[in-house]
Amino acid sequence: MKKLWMILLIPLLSGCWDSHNIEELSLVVGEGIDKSKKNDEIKLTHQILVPPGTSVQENQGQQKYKNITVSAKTLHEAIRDSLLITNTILTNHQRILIINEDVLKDIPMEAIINMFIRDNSIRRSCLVLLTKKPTKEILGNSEADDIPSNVIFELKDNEKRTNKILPPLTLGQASASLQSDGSFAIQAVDIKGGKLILDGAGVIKNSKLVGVMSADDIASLNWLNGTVKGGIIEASHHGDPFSVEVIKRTRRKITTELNGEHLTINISIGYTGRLSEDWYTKENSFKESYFKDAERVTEDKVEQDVEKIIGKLQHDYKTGVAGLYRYVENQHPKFWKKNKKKWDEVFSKADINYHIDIRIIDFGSKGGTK
Amino acid sequence: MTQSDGKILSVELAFIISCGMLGVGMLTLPRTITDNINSPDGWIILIFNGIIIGLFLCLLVFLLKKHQVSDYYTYMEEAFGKWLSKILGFVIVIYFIGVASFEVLAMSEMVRFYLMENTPVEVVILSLILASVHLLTGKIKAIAKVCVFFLPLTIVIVLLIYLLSLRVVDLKNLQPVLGNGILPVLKGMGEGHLYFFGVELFIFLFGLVKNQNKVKKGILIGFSIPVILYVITYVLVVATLTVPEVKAVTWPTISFIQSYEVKGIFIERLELFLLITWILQFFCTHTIYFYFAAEGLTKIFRNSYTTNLIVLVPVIFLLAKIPKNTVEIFKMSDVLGYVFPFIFFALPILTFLIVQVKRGKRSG
Repeated sequence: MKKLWMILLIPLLSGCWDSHNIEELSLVVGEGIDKSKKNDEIKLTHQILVPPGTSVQENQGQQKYKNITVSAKTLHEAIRDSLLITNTILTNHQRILIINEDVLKDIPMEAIINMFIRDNSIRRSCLVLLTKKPTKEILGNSEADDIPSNVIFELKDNEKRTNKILPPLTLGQASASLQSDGSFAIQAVDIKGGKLILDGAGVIKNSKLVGVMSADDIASLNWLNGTVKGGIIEASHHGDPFSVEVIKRTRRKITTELNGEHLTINISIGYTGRLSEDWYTKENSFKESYFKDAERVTEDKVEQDVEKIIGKLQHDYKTGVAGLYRYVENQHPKFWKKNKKKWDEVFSKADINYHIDIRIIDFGSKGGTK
Repeated sequence: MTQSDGKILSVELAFIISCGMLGVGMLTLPRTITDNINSPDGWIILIFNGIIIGLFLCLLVFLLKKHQVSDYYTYMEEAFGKWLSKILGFVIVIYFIGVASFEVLAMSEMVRFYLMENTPVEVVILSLILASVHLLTGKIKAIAKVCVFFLPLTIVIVLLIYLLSLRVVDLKNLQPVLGNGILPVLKGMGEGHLYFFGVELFIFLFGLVKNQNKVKKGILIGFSIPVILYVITYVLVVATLTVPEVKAVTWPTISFIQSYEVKGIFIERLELFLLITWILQFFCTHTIYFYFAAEGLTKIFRNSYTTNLIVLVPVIFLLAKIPKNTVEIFKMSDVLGYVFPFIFFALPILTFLIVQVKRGKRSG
């Protein structure tokens, strides 16, 4: 009986200031940022998951998500304003952040992602993407009840099969790059034929959007960086097209040389590949010289593409998106310290020598045509 | 081995020292070091400072053994006389109270920001203090057992989280090694001892160890566990976040764990586990300092230990309420950092020299 008072204390254990019923939360999976028509306001679109109903009839015709758009001067204010429409916003599970091009033309990217980095619940692993369409359209474009945010999030996994996608850019990486040299490329999404598509990229320089690249440019940029993880190289020999499938990277060596103030960057990359398609009717891959020729042709093709992208980076965008500054910093710390501020200028004037070595190690289950 | 003799084993000494050291430092250390030297060479500082302090610890063991110190407060009395030693002892106790309330404050700050936004901070602080008072009634033996239980848990969980992070780590960010030359590193080493908060407890623990021959081994093991964890943490965090970014975030270690998700296991987000285990470490650190504060007061005023425990509860609580914002909290740790070298370096050496002279006179 003496310990009876302990039982009376039990109700105290149930108290929790921070309890929320899960059905009263708005689970955000994606956010989109647009410019508002009203002057200097920002439009924020939340994509919120709608929990499925209990019965079959209920689920039919019901969308799995809803989009809520609000505009305000700052992003956090916009989030709080959305509480006038919906339940408490929970951003712990946010997967993507889509930014409209117009926003980045006026407002520095650093300011745009500032709130997301500061926030205690949004993770730094959330993906950042760019679009030229209003983000409301992108986030509202769904087929067969798919959730657009998830569709986009999963598309980035195809990185291993195609080289026209940039390596995923997370909030954390974006923030880190903005803190260091402030220039990088950011994957873009678009709608084509009613479908969401990863297409092209934006070039960010000093926190502002300075240009856009096509999907082929991305492939070239990936070749330059050695970040290709898969995909196809198209080329032609004897007047007929053929394709080489990338298997894996065997080496990457980047050296930088200084001659006074003049910088030379030597990039040498090695890949293995497979001759995966060949339209030439007199093909004979069993002869070594045949696919050695094919190797040479593909190498030339990649080197040409890369040269083009180097030209674009150096003369159109005048910025070292490629992250090559890291090698300069590591190999010539003193030079880097002195020229950190005018790196874009140094990069534009630098000589970049690119050499790729592709080895075709197999040709599939067919090697000759009679 | 009975409970009442109040002695600990050398293994327990190791665990107490480790738990005493692993506190808020682990979560902010990459930023403070990088801020100091402005290059990714912090791990060199950690290793060298670790070695230097390790050697100093060996020296301390030698000195304390030579004078057969069983209780540091009586030892101080022998050196400085009755009143001066009481004043010195009181300063040390204030330092202990300061660290105890700083740890509980840092914990509550972290909990408020990452876990429980609406729960009043006072409740979090008070529940932790009261829980540790409960543990402290069992004196050092009980603390030792809690440390032995919590530390392996912490280490296993933290290393597991780190292992899963290797995917996002880019060691290129740690280069160039010594890019600015050796000078900034040497300069950083001057302040490097601050990251080893907690090791000063050793001089007060020395007399409590049962087998005096194993003290050196115990203290070195206890010291090297946090040092190794610190080096690993520093390398991973800076390699993932890059130098400029590390300087910009408030809790770099937590930001680092938020930078990746694990696919395939049923949990994707791991920072929760770090936060939970780290609350345990905050609790241990807090309890250990709390114990030494109460114990110190008992030695100085010769009153009851339990009374001191109860008196210290409001003191620690109110002290933790003084800093008004995050900046002031970090300032509080700076202030404590100034006292640390005095207690860890100056005091033992000075005491030893005076006692040596006094004893020499008496025998000669």
